[in-house]
Amino acid sequence: MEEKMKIKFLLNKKNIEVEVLPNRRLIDFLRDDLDLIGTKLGCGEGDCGACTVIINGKTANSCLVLAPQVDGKEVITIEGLGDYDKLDSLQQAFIDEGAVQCGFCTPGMLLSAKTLLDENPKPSREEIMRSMSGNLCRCTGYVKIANAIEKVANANN
Amino acid sequence: MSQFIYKKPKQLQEAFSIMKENPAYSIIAGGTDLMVKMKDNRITAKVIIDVSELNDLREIKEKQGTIYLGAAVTHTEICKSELLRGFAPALVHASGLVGSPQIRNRGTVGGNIGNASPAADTIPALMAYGAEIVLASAEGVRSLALEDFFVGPGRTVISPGEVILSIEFNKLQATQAVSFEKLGKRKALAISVVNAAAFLEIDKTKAVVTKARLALGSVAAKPIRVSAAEEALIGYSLSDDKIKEVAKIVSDSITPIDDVRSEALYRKRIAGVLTQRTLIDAWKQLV
Repeated sequence: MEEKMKIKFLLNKKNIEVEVLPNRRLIDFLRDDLDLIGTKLGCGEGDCGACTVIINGKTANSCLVLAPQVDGKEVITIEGLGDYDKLDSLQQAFIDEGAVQCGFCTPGMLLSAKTLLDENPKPSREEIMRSMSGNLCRCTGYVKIANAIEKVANANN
Repeated sequence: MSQFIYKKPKQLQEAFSIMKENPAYSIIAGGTDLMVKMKDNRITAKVIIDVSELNDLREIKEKQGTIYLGAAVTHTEICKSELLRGFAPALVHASGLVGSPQIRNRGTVGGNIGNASPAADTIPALMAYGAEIVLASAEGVRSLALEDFFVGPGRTVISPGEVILSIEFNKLQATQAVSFEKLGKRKALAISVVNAAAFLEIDKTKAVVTKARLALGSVAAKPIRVSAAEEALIGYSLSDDKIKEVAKIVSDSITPIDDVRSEALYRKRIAGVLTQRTLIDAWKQLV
């Protein structure tokens, strides 16, 4: 009964065609099958946001998505945001503002910030705080993360 | 997670055939509730049917004064809908307070209802709008008042082979208003300790209430209306004394429990407070 099914989707701008078990969560599929371990598994219940990825331009908790559900979709993980040679402006701002402490929430925070700025390039401080409401951080107190996002927003014209 | 087959029908009829052939099915749309239950093996379906992209469940439209809201519309889509922002702002407010941005991007209104949590935020709001729920099966459709859909926590009157198709309610008139309020343990990503919604219709010349609906969540085994409190409003203007009287009726007639989020005694008090706040807000929209 447990037969793999074929899914096709766009992952970090690359076309992927792969077989996956139907009961595979997207988070496990990304980390264990595709070795994309930037996405973190925290609570597994949609409370912490550490597993945030972007599906068709909107953030989602990848622990609450079945891998087959991304068939035909576009998925962006933290690996698709930037790399060591060319960081995204948000990643650079997180470094510059000291917005990373233990780093566990950072991939999710960055992707939430990315969708915020894609939809709303000049958010208010209040909008920035709200955009983080699905991502728990236990180290920073959020202030430096908000500062980093604000810095990138201020550079947007 | 147990093993299952994943099916994503393209048409509603196809979904009905899959349900008929596989009685041990579960429906998934956003998955924000179902995935948690499947992870803990509280649901062990043999077939998971994904209805998230069925066109019949995806529409938001208005027809002759009735708003039609497809079951697979997400909370984010509710919040962005010009139609709903204009004609159902209290529903938009409630959907905007569900979970987190990530949850709202995937969680659907039909899922919020079908999951039948007594604390679901969209349910009291929709009950205040006087919403009906439309259920579809291979045999046809049936609709019932939303408050008649729930049996208890996680339990509804939905039959095997039925899906939630839509939620329908009338556009508000100039003499009508709805207000929704929620209290959680924190401002973001909190399941409601208590939530409440009030609908008022007034006679503008006399400034008295002609019709009222008061709906509350997380104060009983299912979302409820408090008819004694509704009746106490009819024919009256909303004086301070009247608001207090109605809030007391609400507090006295609900039967909340102690649980991880709060205590019965606190819930009784807060239900009264939220009743006052929603009544005042709805009244201010009208006079």
